[in-house]
Amino acid sequence: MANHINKSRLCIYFIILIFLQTLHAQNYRPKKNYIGLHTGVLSSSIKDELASPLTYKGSGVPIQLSYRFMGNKNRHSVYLSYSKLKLSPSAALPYGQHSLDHFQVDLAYGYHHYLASMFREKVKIYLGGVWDNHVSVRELYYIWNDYEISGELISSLDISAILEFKISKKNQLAYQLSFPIVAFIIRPPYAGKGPVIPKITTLDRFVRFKNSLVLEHTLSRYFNVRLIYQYIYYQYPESQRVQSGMDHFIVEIVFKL
Amino acid sequence: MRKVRFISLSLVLMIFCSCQGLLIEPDPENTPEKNFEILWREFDRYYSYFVYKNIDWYEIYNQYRPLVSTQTSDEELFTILSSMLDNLQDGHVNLYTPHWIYAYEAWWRDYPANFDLDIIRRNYLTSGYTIAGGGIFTYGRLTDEIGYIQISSFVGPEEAFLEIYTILEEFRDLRGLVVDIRDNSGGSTKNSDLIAARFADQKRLYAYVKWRNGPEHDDLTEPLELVIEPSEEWKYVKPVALLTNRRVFSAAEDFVLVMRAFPHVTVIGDITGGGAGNPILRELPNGWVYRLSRWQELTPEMEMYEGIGLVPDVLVGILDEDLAAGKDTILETAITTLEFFFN
Repeated sequence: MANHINKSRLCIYFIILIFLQTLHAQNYRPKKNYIGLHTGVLSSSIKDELASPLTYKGSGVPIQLSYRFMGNKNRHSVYLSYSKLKLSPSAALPYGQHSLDHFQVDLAYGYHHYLASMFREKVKIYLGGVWDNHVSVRELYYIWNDYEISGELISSLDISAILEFKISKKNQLAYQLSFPIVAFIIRPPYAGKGPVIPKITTLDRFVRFKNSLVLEHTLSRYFNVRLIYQYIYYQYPESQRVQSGMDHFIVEIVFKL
Repeated sequence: MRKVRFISLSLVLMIFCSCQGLLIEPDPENTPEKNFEILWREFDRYYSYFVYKNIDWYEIYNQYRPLVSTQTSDEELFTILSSMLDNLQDGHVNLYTPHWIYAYEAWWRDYPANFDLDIIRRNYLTSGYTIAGGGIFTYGRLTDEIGYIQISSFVGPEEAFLEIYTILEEFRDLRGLVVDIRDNSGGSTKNSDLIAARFADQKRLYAYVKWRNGPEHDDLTEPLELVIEPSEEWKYVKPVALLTNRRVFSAAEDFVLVMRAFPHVTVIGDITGGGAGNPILRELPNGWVYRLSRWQELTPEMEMYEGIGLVPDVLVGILDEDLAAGKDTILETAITTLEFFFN
């Protein structure tokens, strides 16, 4: 019994030593690993001609987790986000029950390499790519609580550029633009009925761009806060055209390691 | 600091600019002509039976389009669209509006009913009956050896259809079962397959389907197999009589196709309604909702039964005088058939 207690105490001392050492080390090294938790407001408009001639619109609250490695020359990032929105048709319809439940999941990995700087390193440019995976599932309710399903799965390799502007010691503004070079798309037939034919497509068929404007403020050695405005648009013409536009306004709390 | 505040405020205000809809094409106008055009076009694009039914959809457009103008009222538009859709003679084609519903009913309306549940409850389930699954099932014993299960519909939540497990436990030791799906107009094939799987002696091919998959009316996939897998629970593989009439339609006809693939099942009654479309719901700019058939379904012998129906193993009907006298000839034929199998 005494032996067991001694071993536990030894473990606790060891863990505290490591933690103190880590803290000590962090006094001298800039933080590179950023873990973020995001939420905010997402406004979505979607027109899926495979399902309906009408545009469905609505807003909701997305949840997003992120990890970023902020090296001097290289940036790595991983994002996971989820949203569930209830959309209504843009037209005033005689029935009250037309609605669309829109589920979206996004998982992305990005890599950017330092390219150049300007204005005495106040402005930095990074160039790289993003492997982006997007799943959209839409349940369209027309009548009697019966619904049909539509949606798509898109996995794409995007080219991406980041422009960072140092406003002050604690504040930075960044702009990121990305668009796909090649995409793997699964768009099941309407109502999920029929054979599914995956397609590999390029920019001439699948159009998407993502814009992000980010204001990052350093709160402390361990925390930053980011205000993000993001606009995403995509369209794909098969088997009938789908168009999707989204505005995000996001607040992110960043924990720096 | 002022710069940072200005940027923060700009970011917040951007969410109100509703940029998300900027690049999206505007909705079609909600006019009688546009609603007509869209309905005709969506049928042209998705409906699966034009060639099979020998329908010239372009001629029908020429016939009905001149009747629609900007002055056409909702009621007039409904009448015109209903009349146009009636050319398809398809029980899976419907038009739903806030005030009126179009449905093609000739597939059952012009035929004898061949069913009255009250007669069965009164004169055949004399030792009592139980209603289960929120009214989906009525079951009891016809004789000491034969059970009776009526399935009124395949519409409903899966939980309601799981009641079949309890019912079959009660009938597990009986020598034969009558499964009565007369007047069952369909619902979800998930529900019908859940029940059919409890009767499956082995994995069976029961039908083929061809999906409409292109802009031309004869753009259809190659025949795709539909198979039924046996349930993981115990299966009832003693003699079963499956009762049908003209109102058996859609998912209920799928159920007939599955069940008749099993060697221990005999289908008795009238020819079914002939509804093999697997319809989808869609909407018009004015909010009206419509249904249309998306596939063609064929028997394992590659025969189409849309508009024709499935012919039972034993074709029998109920005379009006028998029905009036409280006699269900179809049910009595089923009992006789099962007793023949017992011996």
